Amino acid sequence: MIKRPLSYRLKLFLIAVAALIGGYFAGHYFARPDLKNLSAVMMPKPIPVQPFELTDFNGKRFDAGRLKGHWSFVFFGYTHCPDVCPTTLSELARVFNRLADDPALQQNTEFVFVSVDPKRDTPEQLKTFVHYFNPGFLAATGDDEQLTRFAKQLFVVYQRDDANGGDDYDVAHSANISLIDPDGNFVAAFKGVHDPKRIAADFKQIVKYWNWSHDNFF
Amino acid sequence: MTTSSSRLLALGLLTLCSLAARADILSIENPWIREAPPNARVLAAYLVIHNNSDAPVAITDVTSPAFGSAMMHATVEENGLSRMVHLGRVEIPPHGEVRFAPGGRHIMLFDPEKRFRAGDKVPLVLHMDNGICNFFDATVRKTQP
Ligand SMILES: [Cu+2]
Repeated sequence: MIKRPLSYRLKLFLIAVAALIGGYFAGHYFARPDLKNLSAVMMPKPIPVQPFELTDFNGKRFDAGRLKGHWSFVFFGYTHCPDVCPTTLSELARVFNRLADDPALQQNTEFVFVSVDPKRDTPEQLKTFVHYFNPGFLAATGDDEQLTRFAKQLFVVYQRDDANGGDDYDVAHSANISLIDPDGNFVAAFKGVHDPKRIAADFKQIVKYWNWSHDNFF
Repeated sequence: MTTSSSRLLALGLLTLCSLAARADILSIENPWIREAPPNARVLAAYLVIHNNSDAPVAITDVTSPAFGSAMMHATVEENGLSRMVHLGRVEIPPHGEVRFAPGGRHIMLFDPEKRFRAGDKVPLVLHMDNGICNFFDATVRKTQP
């Protein structure tokens, strides 16, 4: 057997270790889930939701902290809305059903309806309304200052046409569905006409990507 | 004569609708109303209206004996705000069609006489600018047909 200098063996060993480490990261890099062909609009980078304070239909404070530890779909509307709001809530109920193949994710996803009509949408009214679509859905509302504080962070606007005092008015509002990650960051928005199948597929893709980047960088 | 059609006839007489040739001019495809939460005071109906005639026709009003009032609306999006606008008149070109679908045109139905559930049939009346009415039943459903 030819005796090689130790430094040569060490070199070989170091190269092998480097290759292993490199291969590990390259493998991860190539296993990186892509975010192509999504119908969701991804935020260029996650936007941490800043403080706001609403009240849910159980009278509990609903604030930025309540968005942490799980995924949230947030939709703004009002219960006297016959077209966009029931359509979107029934689509979100179908998104929930489509998560049944991943029970852990389904359990870890909250659906929140934020009413921009606190005058007519009492806690009881909100609870009955959203529970019709899914008994696990949550609803919250608050005063205009707090509603705006939350809404504008999600690029949501609204305008209540109740200037003439009556109880018969419409509320114009953005129809976006916002997605918030378990760190409380606004990560994506679903706009326009929503398709539950696409939302569920996009969501799973976003979660995969999110899990991948957390495994690799944190 | 069924209760529903005698009610419709009564309504037609009340609203001075002409029942003549009513079936010929328009045909109605998939009329449906989205089943709503028990406390909803406003519902929406959707349908496709075909004009089978050689002349343009305009729908100028919608009524229903099952609701306090009804009107044609469109949800329109401007600068990220979705709002509903009232449509006083909806024109249908000769042999053309107009679609009422979620997130777009809809028939807004206020104050239901009772809670409607999937499977229920609800009478609706379209009023045309030529004085003729079209009577039909919309089916209550949970999802779009
Ligand atoms: Cu409307």
